[in-house]
Parts: sequence; C-alpha cells; structure tokens
Amino acid sequence: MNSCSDGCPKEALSIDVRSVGVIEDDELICRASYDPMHYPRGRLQNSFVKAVDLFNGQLSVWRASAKTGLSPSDVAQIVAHSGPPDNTLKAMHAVPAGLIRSERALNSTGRLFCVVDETDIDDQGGSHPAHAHIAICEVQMATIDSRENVLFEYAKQRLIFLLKQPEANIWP
Amino acid sequence: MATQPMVTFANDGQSRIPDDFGLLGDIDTVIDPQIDADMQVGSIARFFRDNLLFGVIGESSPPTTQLWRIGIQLKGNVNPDLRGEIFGASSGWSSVFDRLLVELGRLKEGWEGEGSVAPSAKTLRDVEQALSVLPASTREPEVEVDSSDGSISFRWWSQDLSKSATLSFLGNGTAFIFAMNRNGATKPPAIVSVTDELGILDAIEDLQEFRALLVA
Repeated sequence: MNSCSDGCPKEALSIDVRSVGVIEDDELICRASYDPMHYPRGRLQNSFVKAVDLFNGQLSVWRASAKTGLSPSDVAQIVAHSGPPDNTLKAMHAVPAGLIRSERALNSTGRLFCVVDETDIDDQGGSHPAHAHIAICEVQMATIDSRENVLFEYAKQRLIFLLKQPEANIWP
Repeated sequence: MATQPMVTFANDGQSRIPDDFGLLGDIDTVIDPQIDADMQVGSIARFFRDNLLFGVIGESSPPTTQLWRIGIQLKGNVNPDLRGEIFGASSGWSSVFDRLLVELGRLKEGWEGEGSVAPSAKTLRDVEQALSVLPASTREPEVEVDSSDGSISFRWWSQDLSKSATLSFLGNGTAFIFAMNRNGATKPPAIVSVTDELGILDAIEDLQEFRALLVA
C-alpha cells in the first residue's frame, strides 16, 4: 500500500486565490463547540465530530496562525455567529496541524488524516481564507468501504480524543 | 407472586445459591468464597435472557480489579415478576444504564434540528444487549449520540483526560471497543458481536487500560 507519510498531494494544493496558502504544521486547527449542542442535556450530548462530515472529507475547521493573521479569539468571533440555530459558541478547541498529521492509521505507518486548505464554508458560495477541512487520508479512505468500517470509527474517535485534550481548549 | 430470588456471596467460605437456581456447568464459572459480603446480588451486572441470569461480579481492590463470570440458570418457566425482581435488585451500573437507556429511547428523528438522526431501534437493542454485562462498579460514561447517523458512543476518560476507553455502536450488531492514549490506540480495536457477552468481557479484560478506566 502506498503511504503519503512524506507528503500529501492534497495538502499541497491551494486552489482558491482567496486562500492564504497551504496549511503549515504549526498552524492551530480550531473547531468550535456550541451550547447546548455539544454539551450534556440530561446524560446525552451530540457528537463533537460528525461521522457524515468526516466520511465526506469535509470536517469544518479554522486556521489560527501568523499566516492567516488570526488569533483563536479572532476565529471565535468569526464562528460565533455561524453556529447552529439557538446555540451559542461555548469553546474553541485546537491542535496544531502537525499533530493531526502525525496520527497514524491502525496497523500501518501511513497517515490517518490530512488537513487541507478549503475556503468554502457552505454550499451556498460562502468562503473564508482561514477555513479548512480535516479529512481521512485518501490512501486510507480507499480501504474504507463504509461508515461501519473500524478504521473509520477509530479516526472519528481519535479526533474527538485529540480535540478534547485539556491543552486543546484554547478559548475562552 | 414469585419468590424473591436471592444469590448471596458470603465471606464465611460459603457461596449460597438458592434451590431455584442451578449453575451452568459449561460456562466459565468461578465463584470466589472470599468475595466481600458487600458484593451481593446488587453487584451482579445483570443480563437476563432465556432463563439465564448471566453476570459479572466485580471487586475493586487496587491496584487490580478482579472479575468473576457466572452463569445461573433458572429451572422451569421464568415468571416475569421474578425477572423484574432480579432487575430491581441490581444497582450501580445497572441503575445508571437503565436511566441512559430511557434517555436514549426518548430521542426521535429531528431531535437536534432538521435532518438529525435518532438512534435506531436496532442500535438501542445492540447497546442494551452489549452493555448490560458491564461490571456493577462501572462509572457513568460520557455518552455521545452522533446526530448525523444515530450512532452512539460510550466513553470513559481518565481523570487527566490522557486516556480514554470507548464503546461505539452503529446498529450493525457489533460493538467497536477502543482504548487510546496520547500516543494513539493502546491495542488494536476489538470488534465484538453484541450477542457475544463473553467476547465483550474478554475484550474489556484484554484491554487492560480499558478495564481500569471503566470501574470506579
């Protein structure tokens, strides 16, 4: 099996002229959590990482870095008004792109994720230069036949683990 | 009215099984007479089906946790009252789990807005079947429902969040069992049929960190 450990062609692309360019390893990759959606109501809460988004390679995240000129607080201001209806931004969780890229697939030295420059923020033509997507590496996705694949579920659980680490809670 | 079933494990060297019960010989049956007197019927993680009370007796004695698996078969027809009393006698994880099941069962399509997916009846059955065998000392987990597909994850964290153990259910008759730390998966995930009670318990025992995270 091929491995893209040494470089991902998808990550090397920066198609949209509005983008600030490809994502560097030291950029913070931020994901917002909203209240009440992502917090317990009763004993249950909604998943912080949606399976369908990840399966489609479109887990929406934001870049906070010198390259984008945005701090985590700046990103928080941007996403505060783009959450689900009747929800308020509660926290921003972030990990360096390099950390996400360093995750390995099960029983493999190949990468599990890629973090790609993707300025589209919705399917109505909205865009932002600091927007990005987390996706499962295409080499790994080729082995995932369905949502019920154990590697896929591991990837989802792994992202949740990383984003819920104490040091990932960067805002407020 | 059925007779109140009692299964007690005394610390006087005698394990008492009422006459109404017969131990199954073909199950890995170990009853330790040294189990503390507190570990009575309430400490049995209940699983009851087809005349079979199947359970785990857990004893937390740091630094290790020991589990005993037992199988007890009721003789004759099972009176629904008897079944209810056995369930009612349970505590710890059983009572937490019962409340979780009630909350999960209340979720309907659209529970998180337009297009959100509630757990299917099949997913709920899988959860009930698989998790009822967990030790009575199991801590309350973080429970996530994925509104994009109705899958359910039960997650136990270490205090500093550096380790987690997760059981995921997608409604396909299996449970995915993950144990991970900051370096990644601590062992390959286990994929176990929800009908394989022993398999689930074995997977938990095999993933040492998992078992340690589960129990209080």
